[in-house]
Amino acid sequence: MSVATVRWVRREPPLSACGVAAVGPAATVLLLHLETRLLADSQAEPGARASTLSGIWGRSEPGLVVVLTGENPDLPWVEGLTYLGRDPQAPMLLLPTLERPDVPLEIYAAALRARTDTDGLLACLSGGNILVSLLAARPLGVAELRAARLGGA
Amino acid sequence: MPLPEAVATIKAAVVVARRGLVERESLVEAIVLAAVAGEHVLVIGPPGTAKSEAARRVARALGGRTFEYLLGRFTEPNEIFGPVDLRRLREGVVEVETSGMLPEAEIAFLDEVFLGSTAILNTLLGVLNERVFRRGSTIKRVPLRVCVGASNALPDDESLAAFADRFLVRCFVEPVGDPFIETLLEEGWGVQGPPPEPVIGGMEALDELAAAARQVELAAIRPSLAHAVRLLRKAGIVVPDRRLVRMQKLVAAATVLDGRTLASGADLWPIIYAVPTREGQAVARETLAALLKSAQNEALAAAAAEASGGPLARAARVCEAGEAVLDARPAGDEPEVLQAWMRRLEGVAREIDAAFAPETLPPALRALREKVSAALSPAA
Repeated sequence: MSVATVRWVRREPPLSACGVAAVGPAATVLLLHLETRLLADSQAEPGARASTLSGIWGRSEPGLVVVLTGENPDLPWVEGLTYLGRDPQAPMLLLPTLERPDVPLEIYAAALRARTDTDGLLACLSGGNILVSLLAARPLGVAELRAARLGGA
Repeated sequence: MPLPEAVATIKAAVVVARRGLVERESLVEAIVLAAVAGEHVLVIGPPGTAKSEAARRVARALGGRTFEYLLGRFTEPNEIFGPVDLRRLREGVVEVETSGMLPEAEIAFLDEVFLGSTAILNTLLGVLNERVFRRGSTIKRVPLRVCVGASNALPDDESLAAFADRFLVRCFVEPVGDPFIETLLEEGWGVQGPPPEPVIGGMEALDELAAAARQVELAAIRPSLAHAVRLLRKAGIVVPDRRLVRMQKLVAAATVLDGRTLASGADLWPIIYAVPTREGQAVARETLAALLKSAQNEALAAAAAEASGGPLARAARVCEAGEAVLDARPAGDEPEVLQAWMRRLEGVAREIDAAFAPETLPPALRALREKVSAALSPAA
């Protein structure tokens, strides 16, 4: 068996952001920020969802993990987020806009597919140590955001 | 006018010209670059994509005399260059009355430029190349600084290729992207009303910079320029020799617009604009990415960023845009207005964090990020 260690290197130019991820305390802050934003928007337009954003969240070893996708102008900002984009060489992966693995992306994507046995978009966070399938991503709502933040994801 | 003052004046004119335009900042700046270089611009894009508006705004901001016309297959030369002087014709002399026409313009915009007749294009060749208008017994120098030609597509006709080649700078525009439609609607509505006043001394500054560009020392940068050309050829992009030589004028113009008289690696980014096709420019950006990573320009940040995709140019553009958003903080406490402003600030913060690793932030961008983060914090 041959083993290769995948290192992550700086990517220049960066990918265009179409998603965002947060882990741990930043994820909680992000959810609260989105909840506040949705409430403000729904006061202006009752029943509104957060425009084009959809997301998925769950608990893992480092804590709460949140991954959102949507149109670039709708992506939120709080401290501690990782913005994600798609490389044409591996379109089913959501990769950090500023980094890439130092192996050919098609091979990396194929290896991840084999390892995770999942279809749909796959977000790679924390140097590939956290993989999040976006198959079950859903549009955001205030109730879901609150439940996720308070631990009922 | 001293060079720093001329640069500041042109920078102010660029800001005025760009106001209200969405995703056309680099086009406005490319027109200014060409004007300083003494070259012309060909803009390719679908109808209604602000091609003429960008040229009009540059002319207005600089205070230059303009001429604008939509060419058609049946356009007569007198519609562009002026009618024959009938009084002189009676005396047996063919002279053209050019008052208010292209031969007296400082900045010209010709829409559907390739539809002009052979008579028009032949006369235009002399105007564009030598800045001399020749028709009948009328021979006069024209004050033209830059001609912006527009078309929906590059011409297939080989016979038009020589004419097209007179436009050294090529810009390709598309309709505004989906994420920016709201901004387009907002900005478009906001610019109703009288146009802004031209910047004082705009044309004088332009001429000062053009003269300085002709004196720029390029010797140090020529090896890098030659290396860039070889890389492009290896990537299958062949830039005709005549364009290669003239490309140096764009590099020199970029140098003075960055406030210097000695060209450096930061000034190579206009090479991209000299590549004749859209596909060629995309390949050129990728091929020359390493060579252009130090690209930046004080007066033309958007054009430098768009051409090079380099981090320094990108940072300068984000800084400029970010400071403008911070400066536009609403005066009152109206919640909806404040909320809209904070969303724009979020956009600035997002652009910084998505495009720059924290340890690579240039000092100005790092300072901007701190200000934006402070403004967005719940305590603010």
